[in-house]
Formats: sequence, structure tokens, C-alpha cells
Amino acid sequence: MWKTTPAIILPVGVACKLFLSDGDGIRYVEAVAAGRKGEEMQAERRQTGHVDVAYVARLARLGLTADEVQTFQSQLEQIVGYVRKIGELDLSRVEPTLFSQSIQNVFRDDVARPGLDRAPVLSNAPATVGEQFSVPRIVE
Amino acid sequence: MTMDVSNLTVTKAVESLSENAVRSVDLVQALIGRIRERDPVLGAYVDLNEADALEQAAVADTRRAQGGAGRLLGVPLAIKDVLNVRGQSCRCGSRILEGYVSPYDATVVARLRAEGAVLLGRTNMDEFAMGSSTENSALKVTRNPANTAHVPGGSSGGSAAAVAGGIALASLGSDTGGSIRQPAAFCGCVGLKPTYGRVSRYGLVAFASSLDQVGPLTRNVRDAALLLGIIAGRDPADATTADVPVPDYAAGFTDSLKGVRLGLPREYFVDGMDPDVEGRVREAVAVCRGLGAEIVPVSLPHTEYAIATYYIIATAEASANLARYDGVRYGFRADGAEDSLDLYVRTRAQGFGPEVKRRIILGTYVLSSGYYDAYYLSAQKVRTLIRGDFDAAFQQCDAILAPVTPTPAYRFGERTGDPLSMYLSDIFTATINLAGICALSVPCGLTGGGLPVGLQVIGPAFGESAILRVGHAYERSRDGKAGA
Repeated sequence: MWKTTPAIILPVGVACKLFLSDGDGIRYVEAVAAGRKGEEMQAERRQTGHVDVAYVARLARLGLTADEVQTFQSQLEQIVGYVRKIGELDLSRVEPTLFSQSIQNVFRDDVARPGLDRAPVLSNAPATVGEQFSVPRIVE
Repeated sequence: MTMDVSNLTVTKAVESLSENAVRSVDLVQALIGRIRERDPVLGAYVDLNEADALEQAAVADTRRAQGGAGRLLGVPLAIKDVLNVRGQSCRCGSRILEGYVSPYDATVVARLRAEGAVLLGRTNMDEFAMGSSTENSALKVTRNPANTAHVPGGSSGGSAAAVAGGIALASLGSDTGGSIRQPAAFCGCVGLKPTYGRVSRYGLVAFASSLDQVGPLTRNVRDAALLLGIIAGRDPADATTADVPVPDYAAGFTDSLKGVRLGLPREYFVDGMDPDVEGRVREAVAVCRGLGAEIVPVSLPHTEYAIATYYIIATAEASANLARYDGVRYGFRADGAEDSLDLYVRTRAQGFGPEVKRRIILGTYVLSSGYYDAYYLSAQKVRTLIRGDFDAAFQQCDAILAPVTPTPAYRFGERTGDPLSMYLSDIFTATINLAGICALSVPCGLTGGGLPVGLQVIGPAFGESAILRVGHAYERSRDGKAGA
């Protein structure tokens, strides 16, 4: 019942399984990737500041309850409505600032150095097998 | 001997220790006694390492007896729970880091240790430093020592409450959009956000990597200068640290501000500001003029776009940084997951609190396909304009004076239901992080209701000496000590 495919970007018309918030939990649905219609909807949403909270939460691998989706929906649309304020500015000739200091190409000698001790690092993991992290089965 | 630690500064403690007037063990014991008395009300500490601290203190006393030196030898300090301290927990106010024990020291922590500091405990904060009131901590409530019905500010609320409340001599915090300066202003202590690249971020749990900086919260400006001089400087483990010499930040301290030009930005004195806050800040400006400073009007025209820009950039970077909390390598893991994706979704759903979820979603949204140019890239361009505003202003002045916050500390619950109004209160602080420059918060009196007000002294990149000098001269005059 919890089987899933983590794919998000798919060619138009391809079917995929998605998970959606529903009531107190998360449920999976089968869906078909949308084409032009989706792009048009996105352009429209960009205009209106609409936030598809359930969709974005999926991108972020974040489970939300129905109540959370509802609360965040109105709060985020209010916040997005506010941050769209920067659209008032003419930015066509402005270069972006990624970091405030212009430090580039920081090199060091390619010398191996000891990393962290394995034991204290592994002891932080919720589950381990030998000297490895343990996770649910990925390949069936 | 026992001593009163509730008003003790780091500078005074260093002096007393070096004169053998007090031992570190006594200092730590006195402080632990104060904490036991006062912290049940304040809730500043999330973890107090009593036995370990007493052991560190004993080691420091032995070192001193054997002629060992260190600029902080035997001085107890508190650390915000966002910095890794080897062997101690680091929860970041979050459930998702439950059970985590730091396997290494953050560079700033290692530098404090190297100078002989005693690491006493770690202080409460908004979850992953996201918040302005410490109400977003999943661990406990922290109260403002000036009035316990009010929030201490945030996100370094525990650090500020501990210092202002007399249960820490000084502490380290982190500031992404005001998280050192705003709680310092709300609680009534000094807080310094250094220039981006001045202090190593290695071992600081990342919120927004292009904005985060570590800095001190202290009882006076001299202590802030002392601690900055220790934690600042190039670090091979953080490639964004600048190769700029670290001066003695207190070397230029005088009681006069003759020849100093201080800018007053008109955009920082706006309608809707609390009249007491504006009043105290304007009085502080008058004090600086009285000390010989020339006050010049300056303009920072893109200020009105700063909060929008900040909440796009900070949340975008946070959404990427917080992707690492997936229940695999450390911290909390949700039960019952049937596959890996399910594990991530459930762990993050149960491990993160509402504000962190809100920001992850906003950040993911502004970075998502089709929205990146309109939000994230545009915000990075506005950032260029905001930096340009400051570059132009610093052509006309050596430092800028402004309020830290538009209002004093508010009551618990007053803003939790309205995230946007909470975000908007960062207007005078977040702008400084976007520009990557430095700023100091210095207490400048109380409102009619007895709540502290902060004066902000803003400097250009690597202008810490200038803003500390201004802050120090103001502080001395405020306390009536000028010329003393």
C-alpha cells in the first residue's frame, strides 16, 4: 500500500504514483503527468501567487496533514503575495549577488586528512548494521 | 570564595582570575547556583553540563597555577544550541535532532577552548534558528528577564536571556536575519553580527548559508570586542571565511566620537514604530552627537524590498540545507516506514515543527521549476541593489545609527498566528545580512513599560572596529562613566 515512485518530472502522458496528504496521513494515487495544460496552469499560478502546498511538500519530501495543508495554504499565499513586491523593480540590468564577499576559487593542497572517528558518527544513526547506516529496502 | 556573578563581565572575570582573586571552579560554581535559582523561570538553558564544566574549570585552574595562559582561561561561557560542541548534544530547538551527540567542535568552539574557556551549557533557540521570539523551540519556553510575560526575542533567545538575566557572562549566538541583535535588544544586552566571512561557520548548523554568521552576546561592548577577536579569522574548513587580518578590536576605544560621521537613514524611522523605541534611539543619537560625532542624513532607498528579498533567499537556502534531515544518519527516525521515501516523508513530518515546515515549503516553492527566475534570481538581484544602497551611504559616513526593532518585546502568543507580521518585524536587521555587512546592538534605555530598547550601529564590511568603538563610547556615556 505504501509503494511509491519518487519521480516528479516525467514526459507528458506518462503515468506515475504520487503521495498526497489526506486526513491524518498520506495516501498514494496514480496520476498521469500533465503537458501543456500544466505549463499553462503554472503560468497562471505565477500570476496569481497561488501555492500548491501539497505539490511543493512532495518536492520537499515533507508529509503534511490536511489541517497543515489548509493552514499553510492561506499563510503562504499571504507571504507569497507579499514577496511578489520585488516584481515592482526593474532588474533587467542588475547582476545577482550570490555571496556578499567576492571570494573565489579557494584552494588547498590535495593532501588526505583524517575524517571524523567512525564510532561517534555511527552512534548518532537511528539504525546501523556493522559499520553502515541501515535504511528500508530500496531494491525489491 | 563566592562572588556575585549576575553582573560580572568577561573582562572583569579575566582580570579577577589572572590576579588569583577567584578560581574558575568558584566562578563556575557560583554561576551554577545562580542558574539553579533563576533558570527555572527564564528557561534560557536547554542543557547544562555541570560536572563537565567543573572539570574544565579545574583543568583551567591547574593550567593557570602552572603558568599557563589563555585569553579566556577559566571563563565560563554559554553556547547557542546551533553550534557543535564535541561530546554534547546539539538539538537546534528541534525534535529531529533528538539523541544527536556532536562528534566534533565547531571552529568557534575550538577557538574558545584553545583560549581556555569553560563551556558551561547550551542555550535555547527557535527551531533551526527560524523565528523572532524563541516560541518556535520544540524544547522549552524561554522568558524575557526584563518581563517574564514577554518573549526574549529570537532566534538566539536563550543566549540573550541568559546574558541579560545574569546567568551567563557571555554567549555565542548566530544571526541570519537578526537572530543575535533582536534578542539582545529585547532582553537588554549587547549583540554583534559580524561581517559575512569574518567568522567561521564550520560546525554551525546551517540555516541560510549566504547569510549566517556567528557572533557574541555580552554584557558590554568591550566583551563583544574581546570575543570577536578570538572567534574571527580565516578557517580552512570554511572557504567563505575572508583572509582579512583580525585586529585588537578594543584598541581604538575612546570616550570621544570627535571626527566620526554617523549616518541616520530616513527609511529606518518610519510610521508605525513604537514611539518609545523611536524616542530612546533618537536620544542615543543625541548622546553620540554630544560625544563629538557628526550626524549626517543618509538614504537606503531599497529598504522596503528587504523583507521580501530576505524571505525568498533565506527560505530557499534553508530548504536545501534542511534536506539532510532524513532519518538516516543522525537524529530522529519515524517508525513504521515501508520504504526509503516513506521514511523521509514521515520523519520530516514528525520531526519538524510548523515554522520550519512553512519555510521549507516556501523555499522549495521559490526554487521550483518555473518560479526560480521570478523569485530566487530576482531576489539575488535586489540584493545587489541593497548592497549598493549601503555602499553609497558609507561614502558619507563611518557608521549608521538605527533602531534594532520597530517595537519592544511583545507578549507570548501575540504574533504566532500571523507569520507575515512576525517576518516584517525583521526589517531593520535582515537588511544587514543581505548586504553582508556588520552591525552591533547596544541597549539604549527602556520603554515606559520597562522593556529594553536597542540601538543598532551598522558598519561597512569588516568595519567591526568602527562600530565597536561607537558602541563603546555611547555605552560609557550612557552609564555616566565617560572620562572615568
